[in-house]
Amino acid sequence: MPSTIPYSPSLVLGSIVHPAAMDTLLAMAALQTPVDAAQDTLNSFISLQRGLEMTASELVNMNIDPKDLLNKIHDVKAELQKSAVNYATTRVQQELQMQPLRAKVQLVNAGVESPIDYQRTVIKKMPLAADTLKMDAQYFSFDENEQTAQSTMSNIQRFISLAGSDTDSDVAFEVAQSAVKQINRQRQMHKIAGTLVLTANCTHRQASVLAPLVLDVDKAIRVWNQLFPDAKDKIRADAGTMAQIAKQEGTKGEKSFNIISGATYGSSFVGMVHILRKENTITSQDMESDVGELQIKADRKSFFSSASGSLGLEDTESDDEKSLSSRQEITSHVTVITSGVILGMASADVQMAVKTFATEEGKTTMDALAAMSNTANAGVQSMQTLAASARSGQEFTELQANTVQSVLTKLGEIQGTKVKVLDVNSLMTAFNNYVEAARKGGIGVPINYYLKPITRTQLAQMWMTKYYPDKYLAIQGDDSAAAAAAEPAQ
Amino acid sequence: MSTTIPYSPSLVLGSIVEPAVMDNLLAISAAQTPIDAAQETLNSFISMKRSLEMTVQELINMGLDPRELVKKVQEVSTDVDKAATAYATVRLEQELKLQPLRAKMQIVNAGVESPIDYNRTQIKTLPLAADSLKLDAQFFTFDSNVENDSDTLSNIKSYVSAATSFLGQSASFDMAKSAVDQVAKQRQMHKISGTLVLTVTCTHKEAQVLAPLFLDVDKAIRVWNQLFPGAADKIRMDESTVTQIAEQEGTTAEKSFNIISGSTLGSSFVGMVHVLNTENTTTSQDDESRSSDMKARLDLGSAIASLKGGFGVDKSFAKDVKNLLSTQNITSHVTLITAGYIPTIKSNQVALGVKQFANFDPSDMMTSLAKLSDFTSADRTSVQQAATAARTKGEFVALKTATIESVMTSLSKLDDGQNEMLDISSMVVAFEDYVNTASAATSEASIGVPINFFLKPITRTQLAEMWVSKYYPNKYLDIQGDDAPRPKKDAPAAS
Repeated sequence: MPSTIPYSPSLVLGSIVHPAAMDTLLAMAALQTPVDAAQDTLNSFISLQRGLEMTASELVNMNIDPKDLLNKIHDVKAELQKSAVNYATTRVQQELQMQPLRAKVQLVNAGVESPIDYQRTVIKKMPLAADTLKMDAQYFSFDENEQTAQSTMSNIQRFISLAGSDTDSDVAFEVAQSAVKQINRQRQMHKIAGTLVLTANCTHRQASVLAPLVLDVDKAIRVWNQLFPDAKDKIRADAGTMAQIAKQEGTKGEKSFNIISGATYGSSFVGMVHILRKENTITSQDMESDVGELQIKADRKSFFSSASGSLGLEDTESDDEKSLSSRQEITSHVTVITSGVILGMASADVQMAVKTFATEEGKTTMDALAAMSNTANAGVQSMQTLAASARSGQEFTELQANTVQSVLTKLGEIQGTKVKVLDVNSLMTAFNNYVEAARKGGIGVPINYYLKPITRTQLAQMWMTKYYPDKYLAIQGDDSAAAAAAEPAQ
Repeated sequence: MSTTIPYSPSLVLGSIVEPAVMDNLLAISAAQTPIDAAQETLNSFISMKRSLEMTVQELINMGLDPRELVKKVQEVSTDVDKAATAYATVRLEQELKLQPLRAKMQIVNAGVESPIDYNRTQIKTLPLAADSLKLDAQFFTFDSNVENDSDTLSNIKSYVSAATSFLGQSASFDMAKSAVDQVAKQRQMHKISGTLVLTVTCTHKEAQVLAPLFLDVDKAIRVWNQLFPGAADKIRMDESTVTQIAEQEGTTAEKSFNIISGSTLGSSFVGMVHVLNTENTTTSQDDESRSSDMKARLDLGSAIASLKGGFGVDKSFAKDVKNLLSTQNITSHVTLITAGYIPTIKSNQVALGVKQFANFDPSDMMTSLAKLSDFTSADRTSVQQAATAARTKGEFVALKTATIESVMTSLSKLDDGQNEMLDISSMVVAFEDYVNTASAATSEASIGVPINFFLKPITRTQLAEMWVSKYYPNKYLDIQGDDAPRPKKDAPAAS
């Protein structure tokens, strides 16, 4: 449907038309129409399909069995798909053909000045054309959040204790162990993608015509001599030559150049945004504390000698391993091509932020480890108590239940710089501005060039009229009379 | 009705008509009419069916038996279906025919300037035509929300306890276990879709004519020479040639070109919106906690030696696995073609956001897991007491009931800001603006594209006559070629 309106910076109101530039422009416009027509068909089929579905459900609500219609909807679907393929094919073909033409429309141009007398020429606005709008907007946004976490906490305590005695020796042995472990692995993936393809074009009511259009005949003759440098085409500014040239009017080989004397206007807005924001955080924390204790005691007594010895070992070991990787990625691609209007655009602030392990006041990793090894120690102590009672042959005493506490570190956020990005909203704002501007009018690039032919005889006649006012028939070549009439009024 | 008014940007008021462009435009319009006719039939049948059904009701209320009518209504039903099918068939066929015609209508054009003298010509609006409106709007919205939830909570406690003693040798054994499982699986699917197909065509009362229309004869002759470059057709601006041309008037070979001197206006609004918003959240949380305890004691005693000992293991283990996947998918497709008016288009805000676990923090998760683990070990302790009591006292004691708490994490909304999007209300706002403007159209503020072109033929003789009367005012019969006022004094030939 709407593609951008081709515009050549060299073709402006009043300027001399370079035939090649005009041909290129028209060729570009001709190449675009099949694309627009294919998209029109596609959109029409989409809306037909949606309309028919609603009609079918309306018929069902009216207790009519829409069996024929439902069969037909299948055909429409097939055609819809075909037309979508056709649109893609056409667009690829045409765009490739467009490229060499676009390569010819250069931004900077130089040409001979316009023969128009800008002092007296006025641009007149007239509502000759009509307002139309064609718009197609496709929006897509996708937001995904994935979180997985796995936490494990284990607490193992064990003891073995043995005591033996015979008549002369006592042996006691005790091992107690306590292991406390807390593991956490978590992952968060958050992805937001947004795409907006927005195309619109308008034609505008107000046309501009140069009225009155006054030519400066001396300037025009010099321009002519630049454009047609051949000796036989040149104009010599003397009465004899002029009279001769004026007689050649209406012959077949008469040369001329065109200037743009008026235009109707259209404007277009073709924009695309794709924005992707990804946040990825992976953390893993692994904390472990082991306490082991070993005691051996031996005692030997005989009537005349005694020996005793003991061995004890206590080992406390705590480990902590943490890793975190947090990434934030923002990509955005915005293209906007407007013809006939320049729009204000607003960017959006995005706060860059990644996750980090928070260091809370008074709770460092060491403190956490110490707390953990205390738990493990308490575990060993209670095992020892149990071991002692096993050794001494008493009933096991009930122990107080241990409570466990989380020693893992919290996550915090590091706020980075605020970045400004262009996103879906920026394009939408620009589009809203575009529609406002289009409604107000007064914008646009020419879509209809009115060409004023200027021939050699015309220039000759004008020259004669100017310099020999009453000698020949004063044929008018421009709107000098109208301009003169308008001047006193101004 | 479902078609937009074709508009060729090159056919504007006052411009020279390129015959091929005009033919193409007329062909497009001709190809569109069968579509409109088919849709009108369909809509007429639908409204007839609805009206007949109400008549049936009325007849029943009046105590009449509408047997015949009911039979007829059934026939109408099949006709409605047929009409709908015919509409689809016609539109498919015609759209495919339209495509090559549309492909000829390019937006940028260049042509020879109009021979009109824009300094003096004015556009006049006259109420020549009539106002009419055809509207068809189909709106459909669908909102569904499906939620599945499966939660399990289990708590198992067991114990084994034994004690023997024989001749001073005793052994006892006890084992207690407690397991708590909390499993939650949740799935939510929320889908909102909306479709609006809106077509309006208006014709407007106010017509535009160029009145007074002045031709600039010198400009017109140069335009003529551009349009008809053949030596035989050209006009030379000298008296003898021009008088010669003027005499050829009315011959069959007389060439002419047309300019658009007026038009009546119509406008159309053809729009479609489809919006689909799907939110999908799946979460699963699995928390389990096991606590076991085993202790054994042995006491071998004899008169001279004794061996006493025991071993014990106290294990507690808790695990938490959480998964969440939440997606939100919004698509919107808006197409709008208006002819004759540019309506306001306002975008609306759409909130982006998915679900997340409320406290997705290792420390918080571990804290809640610790809570579960504490509960399990407290639970196990109470089992142990029961075991001990069974062993020592030979009787069961009632277990202390512990209250179990949920350790599942709740879900919260992850706010991802808002995007501007064109949706159904954007279209409706544009439509309202269009209809209000169309109904308020006056001669000062008229809207529309030409639907009826008034063509003014300009012939070579006409130009010749005008040229002669401009440059030789009183020499020949002063035939008027435009709306220029006739000279005050009587032309000699007129007498």
